[in-house]
Amino acid sequence: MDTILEVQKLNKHYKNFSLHDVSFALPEGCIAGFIGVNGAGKTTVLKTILGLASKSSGSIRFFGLDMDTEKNRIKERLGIVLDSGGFYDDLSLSQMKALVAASYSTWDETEFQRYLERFSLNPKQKIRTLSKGMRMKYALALALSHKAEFLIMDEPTGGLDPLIRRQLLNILREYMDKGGRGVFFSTHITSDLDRLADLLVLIDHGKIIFQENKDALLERYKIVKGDAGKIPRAALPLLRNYSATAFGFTAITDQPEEVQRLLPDVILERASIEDIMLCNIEGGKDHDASIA
Amino acid sequence: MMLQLLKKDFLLTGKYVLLAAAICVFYPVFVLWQLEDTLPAQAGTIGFLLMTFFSILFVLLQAFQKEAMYPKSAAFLCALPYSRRDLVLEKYMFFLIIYLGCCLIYRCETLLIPALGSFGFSEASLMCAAVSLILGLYLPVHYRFGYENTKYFFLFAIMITCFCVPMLVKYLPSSWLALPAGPLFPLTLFLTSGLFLAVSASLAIHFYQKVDLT
Repeated sequence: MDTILEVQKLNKHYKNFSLHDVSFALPEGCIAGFIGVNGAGKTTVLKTILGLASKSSGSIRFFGLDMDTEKNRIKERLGIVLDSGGFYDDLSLSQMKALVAASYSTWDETEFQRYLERFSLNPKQKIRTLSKGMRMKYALALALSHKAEFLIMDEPTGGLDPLIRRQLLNILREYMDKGGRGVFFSTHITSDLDRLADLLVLIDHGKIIFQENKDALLERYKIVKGDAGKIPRAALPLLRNYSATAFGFTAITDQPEEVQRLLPDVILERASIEDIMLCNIEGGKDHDASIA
Repeated sequence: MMLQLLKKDFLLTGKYVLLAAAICVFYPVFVLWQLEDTLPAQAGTIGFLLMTFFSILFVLLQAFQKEAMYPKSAAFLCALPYSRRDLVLEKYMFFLIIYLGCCLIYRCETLLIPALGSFGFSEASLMCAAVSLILGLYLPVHYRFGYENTKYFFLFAIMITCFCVPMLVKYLPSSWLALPAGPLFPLTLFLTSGLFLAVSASLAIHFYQKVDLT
Protein backbone atom coordinates (compact mmCIF):
# COMPACT_ATOMS: atom_id res chain seq x y z
CA MET A 1 0.00 0.00 0.00
CA ASP A 2 1.45 3.40 -1.00
CA THR A 3 2.05 6.16 1.49
CA ILE A 4 -0.04 9.25 0.80
CA LEU A 5 1.48 11.51 3.44
CA GLU A 6 4.81 11.18 5.16
CA VAL A 7 5.95 13.72 7.73
CA GLN A 8 9.41 13.35 9.19
CA LYS A 9 10.97 15.23 12.09
CA LEU A 10 8.85 18.30 11.55
CA ASN A 11 9.78 21.16 13.84
CA LYS A 12 8.14 24.53 14.12
CA HIS A 13 8.83 27.08 16.81
CA TYR A 14 6.62 29.90 18.05
CA LYS A 15 7.23 32.06 21.09
CA ASN A 16 4.96 30.03 23.36
CA PHE A 17 4.52 26.80 21.44
CA SER A 18 6.59 24.37 19.39
CA LEU A 19 6.16 21.26 17.33
CA HIS A 20 8.86 18.78 18.30
CA ASP A 21 10.07 16.20 15.77
CA VAL A 22 6.57 15.44 14.51
CA SER A 23 6.70 12.25 12.44
CA PHE A 24 3.92 10.10 11.07
CA ALA A 25 2.92 8.39 7.83
CA LEU A 26 -0.53 7.77 6.40
CA PRO A 27 -1.10 4.94 3.93
CA GLU A 28 -3.45 5.11 0.95
CA GLY A 29 -6.99 3.86 1.55
CA CYS A 30 -7.30 4.88 5.17
CA ILE A 31 -9.19 7.50 7.11
CA ALA A 32 -6.87 8.91 9.73
CA GLY A 33 -8.07 10.87 12.70
CA PHE A 34 -5.74 13.50 14.10
CA ILE A 35 -6.67 13.87 17.74
CA GLY A 36 -5.61 15.98 20.66
CA VAL A 37 -7.06 18.54 23.01
CA ASN A 38 -7.42 22.20 22.03
CA GLY A 39 -3.99 23.77 21.70
CA ALA A 40 -2.20 20.43 21.29
CA GLY A 41 -0.87 21.46 17.86
CA LYS A 42 -3.30 19.84 15.41
CA THR A 43 -4.01 22.98 13.38
CA THR A 44 -0.34 24.01 13.46
CA VAL A 45 0.66 20.63 12.00
CA LEU A 46 -2.01 20.85 9.30
CA LYS A 47 -1.01 24.41 8.37
CA THR A 48 2.65 23.51 8.30
CA ILE A 49 2.18 20.47 6.10
CA LEU A 50 0.04 22.56 3.73
CA GLY A 51 2.76 25.22 3.52
CA LEU A 52 0.58 27.87 5.17
CA ALA A 53 3.10 28.20 7.98
CA SER A 54 6.82 27.86 7.52
CA LYS A 55 8.62 24.96 9.18
CA SER A 56 11.83 25.22 11.13
CA SER A 57 13.02 21.81 9.91
CA GLY A 58 11.77 18.44 8.72
CA SER A 59 10.36 16.98 5.54
CA ILE A 60 6.81 16.67 4.21
CA ARG A 61 5.98 14.36 1.32
CA PHE A 62 2.60 13.85 -0.32
CA PHE A 63 2.22 10.99 -2.85
CA GLY A 64 6.02 10.60 -2.65
CA LEU A 65 6.54 14.21 -3.79
CA ASP A 66 8.42 16.75 -1.72
CA MET A 67 6.20 19.63 -0.58
CA ASP A 68 9.13 22.07 -0.79
CA THR A 69 9.74 21.48 -4.49
CA GLU A 70 6.44 20.11 -5.88
CA LYS A 71 3.93 22.28 -4.04
CA ASN A 72 1.68 23.07 -7.00
CA ARG A 73 1.52 19.48 -8.27
CA ILE A 74 0.64 18.32 -4.78
CA LYS A 75 -2.02 20.96 -4.13
CA GLU A 76 -3.83 19.98 -7.33
CA ARG A 77 -4.38 16.53 -5.79
CA LEU A 78 -5.53 17.68 -2.33
CA GLY A 79 -9.03 18.50 -1.12
CA ILE A 80 -9.01 21.08 1.65
CA VAL A 81 -11.62 21.81 4.30
CA LEU A 82 -10.46 24.39 6.81
CA ASP A 83 -12.03 25.12 10.16
CA SER A 84 -14.92 27.60 9.46
CA GLY A 85 -14.36 27.29 5.71
CA GLY A 86 -12.02 30.16 5.01
CA PHE A 87 -14.52 31.72 2.62
CA TYR A 88 -15.28 35.34 1.80
CA ASP A 89 -18.70 35.67 3.39
CA ASP A 90 -19.68 38.57 1.12
CA LEU A 91 -19.48 36.37 -1.96
CA SER A 92 -22.22 34.07 -3.18
CA LEU A 93 -21.70 30.33 -3.39
CA SER A 94 -21.23 30.49 -7.16
CA GLN A 95 -18.78 33.40 -6.93
CA MET A 96 -16.63 31.59 -4.36
CA LYS A 97 -16.88 28.43 -6.44
CA ALA A 98 -15.58 30.27 -9.50
CA LEU A 99 -12.59 31.43 -7.48
CA VAL A 100 -11.83 27.92 -6.22
CA ALA A 101 -12.54 26.19 -9.54
CA ALA A 102 -10.17 28.48 -11.45
CA SER A 103 -7.25 27.19 -9.42
CA TYR A 104 -7.76 23.52 -10.34
CA SER A 105 -7.03 22.08 -13.76
CA THR A 106 -9.20 19.04 -12.93
CA TRP A 107 -12.33 20.88 -11.74
CA ASP A 108 -15.48 18.86 -12.42
CA GLU A 109 -18.44 21.24 -12.70
CA THR A 110 -20.97 18.39 -13.10
CA GLU A 111 -19.78 16.82 -9.87
CA PHE A 112 -20.02 20.18 -8.09
CA GLN A 113 -23.60 20.73 -9.32
CA ARG A 114 -24.47 17.23 -8.15
CA TYR A 115 -23.22 18.04 -4.66
CA LEU A 116 -25.11 21.36 -4.61
CA GLU A 117 -28.30 19.55 -5.50
CA ARG A 118 -27.68 16.81 -2.97
CA PHE A 119 -27.01 19.30 -0.17
CA SER A 120 -29.88 21.61 -1.27
CA LEU A 121 -27.52 24.55 -1.63
CA ASN A 122 -28.58 27.58 -3.63
CA PRO A 123 -25.63 28.89 -5.70
CA LYS A 124 -27.02 32.44 -5.57
CA GLN A 125 -27.08 32.48 -1.78
CA LYS A 126 -24.48 34.59 0.05
CA ILE A 127 -22.03 32.55 2.08
CA ARG A 128 -22.71 34.64 5.17
CA THR A 129 -26.31 33.38 5.23
CA LEU A 130 -25.28 29.72 5.47
CA SER A 131 -25.67 27.85 8.74
CA LYS A 132 -22.59 26.10 10.13
CA GLY A 133 -23.82 22.77 8.79
CA MET A 134 -24.55 24.14 5.31
CA ARG A 135 -21.17 25.86 5.28
CA MET A 136 -19.49 22.53 5.99
CA LYS A 137 -21.45 20.86 3.19
CA TYR A 138 -20.44 23.63 0.82
CA ALA A 139 -16.80 23.25 1.87
CA LEU A 140 -17.04 19.53 1.16
CA ALA A 141 -18.65 20.15 -2.23
CA LEU A 142 -15.70 22.39 -3.15
CA ALA A 143 -13.14 19.95 -1.80
CA LEU A 144 -14.61 16.93 -3.58
CA SER A 145 -15.28 18.41 -7.03
CA HIS A 146 -11.80 18.24 -8.50
CA LYS A 147 -11.00 14.53 -8.14
CA ALA A 148 -8.96 15.06 -4.99
CA GLU A 149 -6.96 12.03 -3.97
CA PHE A 150 -6.38 13.10 -0.40
CA LEU A 151 -8.76 15.08 1.77
CA ILE A 152 -7.38 17.18 4.60
CA MET A 153 -9.90 18.60 7.04
CA ASP A 154 -9.38 20.76 10.10
CA GLU A 155 -12.05 20.21 12.76
CA PRO A 156 -14.81 19.52 10.22
CA THR A 157 -17.37 18.34 12.76
CA GLY A 158 -16.88 21.08 15.35
CA GLY A 159 -20.17 22.82 16.18
CA LEU A 160 -22.27 20.58 13.94
CA ASP A 161 -25.43 18.85 15.10
CA PRO A 162 -25.43 15.03 15.23
CA LEU A 163 -27.50 14.64 12.05
CA ILE A 164 -25.15 16.75 9.92
CA ARG A 165 -22.14 15.05 11.49
CA ARG A 166 -23.59 11.67 10.52
CA GLN A 167 -24.20 12.92 6.95
CA LEU A 168 -20.64 14.19 6.76
CA LEU A 169 -19.28 10.83 7.87
CA ASN A 170 -21.41 9.08 5.24
CA ILE A 171 -20.01 11.34 2.53
CA LEU A 172 -16.48 10.53 3.64
CA ARG A 173 -17.26 6.82 3.46
CA GLU A 174 -18.61 7.25 -0.08
CA TYR A 175 -15.49 9.19 -1.01
CA MET A 176 -13.27 6.40 0.28
CA ASP A 177 -15.31 3.71 -1.51
CA LYS A 178 -13.97 4.97 -4.84
CA GLY A 179 -10.55 3.61 -3.85
CA GLY A 180 -6.96 4.89 -3.91
CA ARG A 181 -7.77 7.80 -1.65
CA GLY A 182 -7.18 8.99 1.87
CA VAL A 183 -8.63 11.30 4.48
CA PHE A 184 -6.82 13.04 7.30
CA PHE A 185 -8.96 14.99 9.69
CA SER A 186 -8.29 16.69 12.94
CA THR A 187 -10.90 16.69 15.65
CA HIS A 188 -11.37 16.78 19.36
CA ILE A 189 -14.80 15.16 19.01
CA THR A 190 -13.53 11.62 19.22
CA SER A 191 -16.94 9.94 18.94
CA ASP A 192 -16.84 10.65 15.18
CA LEU A 193 -13.65 8.63 14.93
CA ASP A 194 -15.21 5.66 16.74
CA ARG A 195 -17.45 5.25 13.70
CA LEU A 196 -15.12 6.19 10.91
CA ALA A 197 -11.37 6.20 11.45
CA ASP A 198 -8.98 3.40 10.55
CA LEU A 199 -5.93 5.05 12.02
CA LEU A 200 -5.37 7.47 14.87
CA VAL A 201 -2.58 9.97 15.39
CA LEU A 202 -2.50 11.59 18.83
CA ILE A 203 -0.67 14.84 19.44
CA ASP A 204 -0.10 16.55 22.76
CA HIS A 205 1.97 19.65 23.50
CA GLY A 206 3.37 19.58 19.96
CA LYS A 207 4.59 15.97 20.16
CA ILE A 208 3.16 12.89 18.52
CA ILE A 209 2.17 10.48 21.28
CA PHE A 210 1.16 7.60 19.05
CA GLN A 211 0.11 6.62 15.54
CA GLU A 212 -1.85 3.40 15.64
CA ASN A 213 -4.58 1.36 14.08
CA LYS A 214 -7.86 2.25 15.79
CA ASP A 215 -9.06 -1.33 16.22
CA ALA A 216 -5.74 -2.40 17.74
CA LEU A 217 -5.94 0.50 20.20
CA LEU A 218 -9.51 -0.34 21.17
CA GLU A 219 -8.47 -3.96 21.61
CA ARG A 220 -5.57 -3.05 23.86
CA TYR A 221 -7.13 -0.41 26.09
CA LYS A 222 -9.88 -1.42 28.53
CA ILE A 223 -11.89 0.37 31.18
CA VAL A 224 -11.41 -1.33 34.53
CA LYS A 225 -14.18 -1.25 37.16
CA GLY A 226 -14.05 -2.83 40.59
CA ASP A 227 -13.88 -2.50 44.35
CA ALA A 228 -11.45 0.25 45.37
CA GLY A 229 -10.44 -1.51 48.58
CA LYS A 230 -9.07 -4.59 46.85
CA ILE A 231 -6.33 -3.18 44.60
CA PRO A 232 -2.90 -4.71 45.26
CA ARG A 233 0.09 -2.37 45.04
CA ALA A 234 1.47 -4.23 42.01
CA ALA A 235 -1.62 -3.33 39.99
CA LEU A 236 -1.42 0.43 40.61
CA PRO A 237 1.05 1.29 37.81
CA LEU A 238 -1.27 -0.47 35.35
CA LEU A 239 -4.26 1.74 36.15
CA ARG A 240 -4.53 5.15 34.57
CA ASN A 241 -7.17 7.88 34.92
CA TYR A 242 -8.10 6.31 38.23
CA SER A 243 -11.20 7.65 39.97
CA ALA A 244 -12.91 6.17 43.02
CA THR A 245 -16.33 6.62 44.59
CA ALA A 246 -18.12 4.94 47.50
CA PHE A 247 -19.26 2.27 45.05
CA GLY A 248 -15.90 1.36 43.57
CA PHE A 249 -13.20 2.59 41.19
CA THR A 250 -12.89 3.18 37.48
CA ALA A 251 -9.60 3.33 35.58
CA ILE A 252 -8.18 2.56 32.15
CA THR A 253 -5.40 0.14 31.32
CA ASP A 254 -3.39 -0.91 28.27
CA GLN A 255 -2.50 -4.24 29.89
CA PRO A 256 -5.90 -5.87 30.42
CA GLU A 257 -4.57 -9.43 30.75
CA GLU A 258 -2.17 -8.44 33.52
CA VAL A 259 -4.87 -6.45 35.30
CA GLN A 260 -7.27 -9.40 35.02
CA ARG A 261 -4.59 -11.67 36.50
CA LEU A 262 -3.89 -9.34 39.44
CA LEU A 263 -7.53 -8.31 39.93
CA PRO A 264 -9.68 -11.29 38.95
CA ASP A 265 -12.87 -9.67 40.31
CA VAL A 266 -12.76 -6.49 38.21
CA ILE A 267 -14.90 -5.90 35.14
CA LEU A 268 -13.15 -4.98 31.89
CA GLU A 269 -15.14 -2.91 29.39
CA ARG A 270 -14.48 -1.48 25.97
CA ALA A 271 -12.73 1.91 26.15
CA SER A 272 -13.68 4.83 23.92
CA ILE A 273 -11.17 6.82 21.88
CA GLU A 274 -11.75 9.71 24.26
CA ASP A 275 -10.72 7.51 27.21
CA ILE A 276 -7.60 6.42 25.34
CA MET A 277 -6.74 9.99 24.37
CA LEU A 278 -7.17 11.33 27.90
CA CYS A 279 -5.04 8.64 29.50
CA ASN A 280 -2.20 9.40 27.09
CA ILE A 281 -2.02 13.16 27.42
CA GLU A 282 -0.38 15.09 30.18
CA GLY A 283 -3.54 16.18 32.02
CA GLY A 284 -4.95 12.65 31.93
CA LYS A 285 -1.84 11.07 33.42
CA ASP A 286 -2.28 13.18 36.56
CA HIS A 287 -5.05 10.87 37.63
CA ASP A 288 -3.08 7.63 37.69
CA ALA A 289 -3.96 5.33 40.60
CA SER A 290 -2.05 6.15 43.76
CA ILE A 291 -3.94 4.53 46.62
CA ALA A 292 -3.99 0.96 47.82
CA MET B 1 -6.53 32.21 -12.17
CA MET B 2 -5.49 35.84 -11.98
CA LEU B 3 -8.78 36.95 -13.53
CA GLN B 4 -10.79 35.21 -10.82
CA LEU B 5 -8.64 36.79 -8.10
CA LEU B 6 -9.23 40.20 -9.67
CA LYS B 7 -12.94 39.51 -9.95
CA LYS B 8 -12.99 38.54 -6.29
CA ASP B 9 -11.48 41.89 -5.27
CA PHE B 10 -13.92 43.81 -7.44
CA LEU B 11 -16.82 41.86 -5.92
CA LEU B 12 -15.60 42.45 -2.37
CA THR B 13 -14.96 46.15 -2.87
CA GLY B 14 -17.74 46.75 -5.42
CA LYS B 15 -19.58 49.55 -3.65
CA TYR B 16 -16.33 51.29 -2.70
CA VAL B 17 -15.11 51.12 -6.30
CA LEU B 18 -18.38 52.72 -7.39
CA LEU B 19 -18.00 55.40 -4.73
CA ALA B 20 -14.43 56.03 -5.87
CA ALA B 21 -15.70 56.28 -9.46
CA ALA B 22 -18.28 58.86 -8.35
CA ILE B 23 -15.53 60.86 -6.63
CA CYS B 24 -13.49 60.64 -9.83
CA VAL B 25 -16.38 62.21 -11.71
CA PHE B 26 -17.11 65.04 -9.29
CA TYR B 27 -13.75 65.88 -7.71
CA PRO B 28 -12.05 67.46 -10.77
CA VAL B 29 -15.13 69.64 -11.24
CA PHE B 30 -14.91 70.64 -7.59
CA VAL B 31 -11.21 71.53 -7.89
CA LEU B 32 -11.89 73.46 -11.10
CA TRP B 33 -14.56 75.44 -9.26
CA GLN B 34 -12.10 76.15 -6.41
CA LEU B 35 -9.14 77.13 -8.58
CA GLU B 36 -10.71 78.57 -11.73
CA ASP B 37 -9.85 82.14 -10.72
CA THR B 38 -6.22 81.48 -9.80
CA LEU B 39 -5.08 78.43 -11.79
CA PRO B 40 -7.63 77.70 -14.50
CA ALA B 41 -5.11 75.87 -16.70
CA GLN B 42 -3.89 73.47 -14.03
CA ALA B 43 -7.12 73.02 -12.09
CA GLY B 44 -8.28 69.99 -14.04
CA THR B 45 -4.93 68.25 -13.86
CA ILE B 46 -4.65 68.87 -10.13
CA GLY B 47 -8.17 67.52 -9.68
CA PHE B 48 -7.29 64.45 -11.70
CA LEU B 49 -4.11 63.80 -9.75
CA LEU B 50 -5.87 64.18 -6.43
CA MET B 51 -8.91 62.14 -7.33
CA THR B 52 -6.81 59.26 -8.61
CA PHE B 53 -4.59 59.39 -5.57
CA PHE B 54 -7.60 59.48 -3.28
CA SER B 55 -9.52 56.77 -5.14
CA ILE B 56 -6.62 54.34 -5.11
CA LEU B 57 -5.88 54.85 -1.45
CA PHE B 58 -9.56 54.55 -0.63
CA VAL B 59 -10.07 51.32 -2.57
CA LEU B 60 -6.73 49.99 -1.35
CA LEU B 61 -7.73 50.41 2.27
CA GLN B 62 -11.15 48.87 1.67
CA ALA B 63 -9.64 45.90 -0.16
CA PHE B 64 -7.20 45.19 2.65
CA GLN B 65 -9.88 45.80 5.26
CA LYS B 66 -11.98 43.10 3.58
CA GLU B 67 -9.00 40.75 3.56
CA ALA B 68 -8.47 41.51 7.25
CA MET B 69 -12.15 40.69 7.92
CA TYR B 70 -11.57 37.19 6.54
CA PRO B 71 -8.05 36.28 7.63
CA LYS B 72 -8.62 32.58 6.99
CA SER B 73 -9.52 33.20 3.37
CA ALA B 74 -5.95 33.97 2.35
CA ALA B 75 -4.89 30.73 4.05
CA PHE B 76 -7.62 28.86 2.20
CA LEU B 77 -6.57 30.29 -1.17
CA CYS B 78 -2.94 29.43 -0.49
CA ALA B 79 -3.96 25.87 0.40
CA LEU B 80 -5.49 25.66 -3.10
CA PRO B 81 -3.20 25.72 -6.13
CA TYR B 82 -2.95 29.52 -5.86
CA SER B 83 0.53 30.64 -4.89
CA ARG B 84 1.32 33.54 -2.61
CA ARG B 85 3.00 35.15 -5.61
CA ASP B 86 -0.35 35.08 -7.45
CA LEU B 87 -2.08 36.76 -4.52
CA VAL B 88 0.49 39.56 -4.26
CA LEU B 89 0.73 40.23 -8.01
CA GLU B 90 -3.05 40.30 -8.26
CA LYS B 91 -3.15 43.18 -5.76
CA TYR B 92 -0.72 45.21 -7.87
CA MET B 93 -2.81 44.51 -10.96
CA PHE B 94 -6.01 45.39 -9.15
CA PHE B 95 -4.74 48.84 -8.21
CA LEU B 96 -3.28 49.46 -11.65
CA ILE B 97 -6.73 48.72 -13.08
CA ILE B 98 -8.22 51.29 -10.68
CA TYR B 99 -5.62 53.74 -11.95
CA LEU B 100 -6.52 53.00 -15.57
CA GLY B 101 -10.20 53.43 -14.68
CA CYS B 102 -9.45 56.86 -13.21
CA CYS B 103 -7.57 57.82 -16.39
CA LEU B 104 -10.50 56.70 -18.52
CA ILE B 105 -13.04 58.62 -16.44
CA TYR B 106 -10.95 61.77 -16.54
CA ARG B 107 -10.37 61.44 -20.27
CA CYS B 108 -14.13 61.30 -20.79
CA GLU B 109 -14.58 64.28 -18.49
CA THR B 110 -12.09 66.41 -20.40
CA LEU B 111 -14.04 65.69 -23.56
CA LEU B 112 -17.32 66.69 -21.92
CA ILE B 113 -15.97 69.66 -19.92
CA PRO B 114 -13.24 71.41 -22.00
CA ALA B 115 -12.54 73.81 -19.12
CA LEU B 116 -10.84 70.94 -17.30
CA GLY B 117 -8.03 71.17 -19.82
CA SER B 118 -6.37 68.48 -21.83
CA PHE B 119 -5.49 64.99 -20.81
CA GLY B 120 -2.54 63.27 -22.40
CA PHE B 121 0.39 60.99 -21.71
CA SER B 122 2.14 63.62 -19.58
CA GLU B 123 -0.71 63.80 -17.06
CA ALA B 124 -1.21 60.03 -17.15
CA SER B 125 2.50 59.36 -16.63
CA LEU B 126 2.68 61.80 -13.75
CA MET B 127 -0.20 60.04 -12.08
CA CYS B 128 1.30 56.67 -12.87
CA ALA B 129 4.47 57.74 -11.07
CA ALA B 130 2.50 58.97 -8.06
CA VAL B 131 0.41 55.76 -7.91
CA SER B 132 3.52 53.61 -8.31
CA LEU B 133 5.16 55.49 -5.49
CA ILE B 134 2.18 54.93 -3.18
CA LEU B 135 1.71 51.28 -4.06
CA GLY B 136 5.39 50.55 -4.35
CA LEU B 137 5.99 51.79 -0.84
CA TYR B 138 2.80 50.62 0.81
CA LEU B 139 2.34 47.07 -0.47
CA PRO B 140 5.70 45.63 0.72
CA VAL B 141 5.20 47.35 4.07
CA HIS B 142 1.67 45.93 4.25
CA TYR B 143 2.83 42.39 3.48
CA ARG B 144 5.64 42.72 6.01
CA PHE B 145 3.70 44.24 8.92
CA GLY B 146 0.05 43.49 8.14
CA TYR B 147 -3.04 45.62 7.71
CA GLU B 148 -3.60 46.42 11.39
CA ASN B 149 -0.16 47.98 11.79
CA THR B 150 -0.27 50.07 8.63
CA LYS B 151 -3.84 51.26 8.17
CA TYR B 152 -3.70 54.48 10.19
CA PHE B 153 -0.71 55.89 8.36
CA PHE B 154 -2.53 55.69 5.03
CA LEU B 155 -5.79 57.02 6.38
CA PHE B 156 -3.75 60.00 7.56
CA ALA B 157 -2.17 60.28 4.11
CA ILE B 158 -5.60 60.43 2.47
CA MET B 159 -6.80 63.18 4.78
CA ILE B 160 -3.67 65.30 4.41
CA THR B 161 -3.49 64.97 0.64
CA CYS B 162 -7.11 65.62 -0.17
CA PHE B 163 -7.60 68.67 1.95
CA CYS B 164 -4.18 70.31 2.08
CA VAL B 165 -2.79 69.90 -1.44
CA PRO B 166 -5.42 72.02 -3.27
CA MET B 167 -4.81 74.82 -0.76
CA LEU B 168 -1.03 74.58 -1.12
CA VAL B 169 -1.23 74.51 -4.90
CA LYS B 170 -3.28 77.69 -4.82
CA TYR B 171 -0.22 79.57 -3.56
CA LEU B 172 2.48 77.93 -5.73
CA PRO B 173 3.81 79.78 -8.83
CA SER B 174 1.97 78.40 -11.83
CA SER B 175 5.24 77.83 -13.73
CA TRP B 176 6.11 75.14 -11.17
CA LEU B 177 3.06 73.18 -12.15
CA ALA B 178 3.64 73.09 -15.91
CA LEU B 179 4.61 69.66 -17.25
CA PRO B 180 7.67 69.38 -19.56
CA ALA B 181 6.77 69.00 -23.21
CA GLY B 182 7.84 66.11 -25.46
CA PRO B 183 7.49 62.32 -25.34
CA LEU B 184 10.65 61.73 -23.29
CA PHE B 185 9.16 62.90 -20.00
CA PRO B 186 6.10 60.57 -19.93
CA LEU B 187 8.12 57.67 -21.32
CA THR B 188 10.75 58.07 -18.60
CA LEU B 189 8.08 58.30 -15.93
CA PHE B 190 6.26 55.18 -17.20
CA LEU B 191 9.49 53.17 -17.35
CA THR B 192 10.68 54.33 -13.94
CA SER B 193 7.26 53.55 -12.46
CA GLY B 194 7.24 50.08 -13.99
CA LEU B 195 10.71 49.37 -12.66
CA PHE B 196 9.84 50.66 -9.22
CA LEU B 197 6.69 48.49 -9.12
CA ALA B 198 8.63 45.42 -10.23
CA VAL B 199 11.14 45.87 -7.41
CA SER B 200 8.33 46.56 -4.97
CA ALA B 201 6.39 43.44 -6.07
CA SER B 202 9.50 41.29 -5.63
CA LEU B 203 9.92 42.60 -2.12
CA ALA B 204 6.24 42.14 -1.29
CA ILE B 205 6.33 38.52 -2.55
CA HIS B 206 9.50 37.91 -0.55
CA PHE B 207 7.85 39.20 2.63
CA TYR B 208 4.56 37.38 2.05
CA GLN B 209 6.33 34.05 1.48
CA LYS B 210 7.58 34.24 5.06
CA VAL B 211 4.24 35.07 6.68
CA ASP B 212 2.52 32.34 8.68
CA LEU B 213 -1.08 32.44 7.50
CA THR B 214 -3.68 32.11 10.26
